[in-house]
Amino acid sequence: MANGYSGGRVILEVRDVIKQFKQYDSVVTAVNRANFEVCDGEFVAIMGASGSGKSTLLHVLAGLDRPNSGRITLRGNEITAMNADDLAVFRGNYIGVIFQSHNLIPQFTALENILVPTLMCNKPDFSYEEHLKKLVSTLRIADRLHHLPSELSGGQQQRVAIARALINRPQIVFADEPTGNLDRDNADEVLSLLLRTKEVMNQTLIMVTHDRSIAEKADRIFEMENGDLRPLRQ
Amino acid sequence: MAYRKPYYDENHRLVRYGPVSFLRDAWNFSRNFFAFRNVKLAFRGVTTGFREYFVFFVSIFLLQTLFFTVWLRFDTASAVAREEAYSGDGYNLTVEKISQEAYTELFNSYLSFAGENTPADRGYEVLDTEGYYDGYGDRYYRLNFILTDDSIEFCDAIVSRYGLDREEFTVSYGERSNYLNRISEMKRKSVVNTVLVGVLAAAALTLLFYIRINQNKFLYGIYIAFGAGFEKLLETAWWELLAVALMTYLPAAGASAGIYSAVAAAGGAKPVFVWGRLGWGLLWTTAVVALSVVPGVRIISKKMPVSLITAADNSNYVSSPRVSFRIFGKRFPFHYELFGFVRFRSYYIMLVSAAVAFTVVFSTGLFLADLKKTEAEDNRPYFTLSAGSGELDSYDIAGIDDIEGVDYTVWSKSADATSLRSFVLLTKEQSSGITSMTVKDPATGLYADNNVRYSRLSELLAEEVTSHGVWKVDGDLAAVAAGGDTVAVTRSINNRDVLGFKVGDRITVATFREQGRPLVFDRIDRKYVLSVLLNDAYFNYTEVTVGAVVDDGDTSDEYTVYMPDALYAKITGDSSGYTDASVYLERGIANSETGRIRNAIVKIMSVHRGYTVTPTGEGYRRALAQKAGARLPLITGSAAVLLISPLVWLYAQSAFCRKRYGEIFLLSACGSKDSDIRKLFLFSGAVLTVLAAAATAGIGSLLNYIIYYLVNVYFPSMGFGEQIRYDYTFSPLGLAVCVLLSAVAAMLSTYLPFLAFVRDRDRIARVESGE
Repeated sequence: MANGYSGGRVILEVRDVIKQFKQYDSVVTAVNRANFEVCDGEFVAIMGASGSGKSTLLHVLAGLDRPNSGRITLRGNEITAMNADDLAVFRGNYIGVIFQSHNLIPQFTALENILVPTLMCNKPDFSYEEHLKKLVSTLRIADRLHHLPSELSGGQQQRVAIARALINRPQIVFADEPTGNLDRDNADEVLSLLLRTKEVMNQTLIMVTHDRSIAEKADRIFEMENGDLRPLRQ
Repeated sequence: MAYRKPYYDENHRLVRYGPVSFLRDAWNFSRNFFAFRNVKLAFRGVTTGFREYFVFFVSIFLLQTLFFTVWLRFDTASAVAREEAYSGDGYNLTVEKISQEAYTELFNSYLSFAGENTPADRGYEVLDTEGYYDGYGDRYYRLNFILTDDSIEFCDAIVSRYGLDREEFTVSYGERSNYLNRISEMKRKSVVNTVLVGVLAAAALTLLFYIRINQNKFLYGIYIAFGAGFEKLLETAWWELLAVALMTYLPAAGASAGIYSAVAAAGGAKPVFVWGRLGWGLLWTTAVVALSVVPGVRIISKKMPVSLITAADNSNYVSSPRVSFRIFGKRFPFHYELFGFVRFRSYYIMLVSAAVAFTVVFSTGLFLADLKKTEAEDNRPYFTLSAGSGELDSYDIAGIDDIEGVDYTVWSKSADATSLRSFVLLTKEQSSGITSMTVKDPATGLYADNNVRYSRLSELLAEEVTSHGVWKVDGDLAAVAAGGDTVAVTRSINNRDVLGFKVGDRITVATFREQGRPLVFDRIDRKYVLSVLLNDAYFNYTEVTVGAVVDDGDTSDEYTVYMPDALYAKITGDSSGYTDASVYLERGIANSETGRIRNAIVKIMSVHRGYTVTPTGEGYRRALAQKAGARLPLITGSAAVLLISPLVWLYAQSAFCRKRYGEIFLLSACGSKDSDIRKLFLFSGAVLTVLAAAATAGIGSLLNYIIYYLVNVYFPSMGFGEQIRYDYTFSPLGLAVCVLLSAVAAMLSTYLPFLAFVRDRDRIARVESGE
């Protein structure tokens, strides 16, 4: 298994993925022929310096952006071949995304932000009520649910963003530097929450980070440099 | 059959299991789409975000008001039409020219048994019989029916049932049956207007919704990132706009009722309200809203979430060093801001289009309201008479003139040049507007044309049209009628002045003499016939002088050469007396009076075998009345739509400015003074002002001319609508109002949000920094 993990069945397969951006007369290759596989239940960290292309890779893997070429298969579904509608529905049901800058909707309360994925996927109330209670309790935001994002601290906002990513019980979670904007204590807390929910919900976690101490906790580590992805620790 | 879930095959195609699966999918879709949660969220969203949706509230309210007004007008007009038809001595069916013998036979064979049945069985409630003598002393009868059903179909059924469909009888439908046709015509127009208002509403809301989407890319990006596909986005958008529409619905119905009651009261009519229209209004609103959101949602749903989430900022300041260099290497803020116009070109195009669309509706509304008939058209004859095989004499004309309600009668006689194998030869200047219809005559170098009618100009006709001001005359019409080789000519074809005749011009009339070769006409179009004649026939030529150029109000596809009696006889070979006449009614005469006048004319005309009395002016008169009635609603409606334009500007530009707050703080941090940033916004406003003014003037004028051409030239030439001639009444004031409003709205909507920013700078800074 190339760049693979021998722990379980393959949930994510990445083949020859290239992502380029055109800037006037030059082309920047953000991801250059990425090839790897991720197995069910794995925690994979992707490290790299700023501008190395790791966030772009994460966006492409999560189906938030399209690669220029290559194939990405998630749970046996080739997401690179899906149309935008099917991909959106697929994302809603199987993928959770945590953005670096939270990306909470400012005019919605914390609770409304958390429930956005349930609304988008037409989940009936009873299907997530219990899960929601556990989630907000675990993330310790139960008392902040009716506050607007602007009334929450950075750590609380990130926890709301994590709850939003997990509310639909995704099988795979993509986190883009979830602790990047947090102080050390908050960063550790958020990471331990993520790892705990990963274990409880048997999720696969793919995290972009430039923090080596966080990456050390991953099952495998990849490093990106100028768009090239290489395994740092198998 | 058990339900099996659809799945994606190895080629990523969705595989469904037959109709049960499809129905189940459809059921699931409907259940999700119409879930109460959606309704609740939509209502909450638009009420809590009222400011954000304000422009939608106003626009939808005004458009719904227009819808209700169209149907209030129809319901009131149809009630008036019905009242007119049923007042006085209106009938459903009149059968004339029934000889004594036929009359006896009819009553013995067909009508006798009917008298014993109830009206429902025999099909009529009243049967009036009138007897009269013709000029030869023969006894004739006229039967007038009031039927149990007003439809034309029922009239036809009765005609057939009672053996009234004989060739020698003249059958005509009365007011009571015609009014159904009129209502049907009015209904057709109302439906067309409803569709037009619907298209306008859908287009306006589509543009507004697109602006909203553009300003909320981040929100939609998050929705899509967390599972919203086209269906979900459509559902959300549709419910939001429908919630707005439902909240404005009853107020719009009320406003429409109020406005139309005032309008109707001013015209002396009583408005008629039909409750069923509320249901249709709801359906219309639902459809319009659905149409409005689909394009925007379709576009946004195809975008990748990352591109939407990262496009949340409208700043001109971009991270690319090369672009920044390009901006800051130039003069600030002008080049900097111009770059923004290029970068956000699709937004600005949408904004200007949406805002200008509403102002253009106003200028077009004014234009339509001011489209008016020419003065000559005021005196179009109401009845056209033909004496059949006989000739009209001065006793006939005097008799008809004496009928109460008749203003005057003029006799006429005309012949089509093509049917006489004749044509006229014109100079290049005279025929420059009809070059495509003419054929160059190689012998003379002149342009032959047969789109012409020859008409007899009697001294009586010349005197009547001059004394009543029916025609616009340039030259001496009386001198033409007096005789000699002078003629009077018209200059318009299909309502357009296309012929370059001047008083004193010479034209040549060619009349068929003999054929040189057998004439074979493979086609019947005039130009082809003319080409064949020019090649294969010989003609006599009569040169005449144009003694008068007249505008007789004719709207047909031919122009007319009016000739004195002797010249007419020479050109057409017809020296018989007058067979036709036109009857002009007194101004302001009620429609209900026309039936009586017609009966009186028929009595006089019945001395001529094969006579006809045709109410040629009836439809025209009604069309004019309708247009006059439509004027005030048109002006009010379009003025209401005009109000939407500044709202669009303010809505879009406020939202756009909000997304530039970060940029403004950044520019301030980099050393830009408030006066520099003010210049930036003023410059942006100035550019938009010029764009908006130019677009309003250009699009407004173009649209007006297109409408004028359609109603005045194209539709009549295609046989649609009444043959009414309109003047091109360009309203500089209306256009100036539109241009000024667009310009002021563009400038203020750009500058005021900046002033609001300056006022609330501290609060905005706190929000921006997340404190």
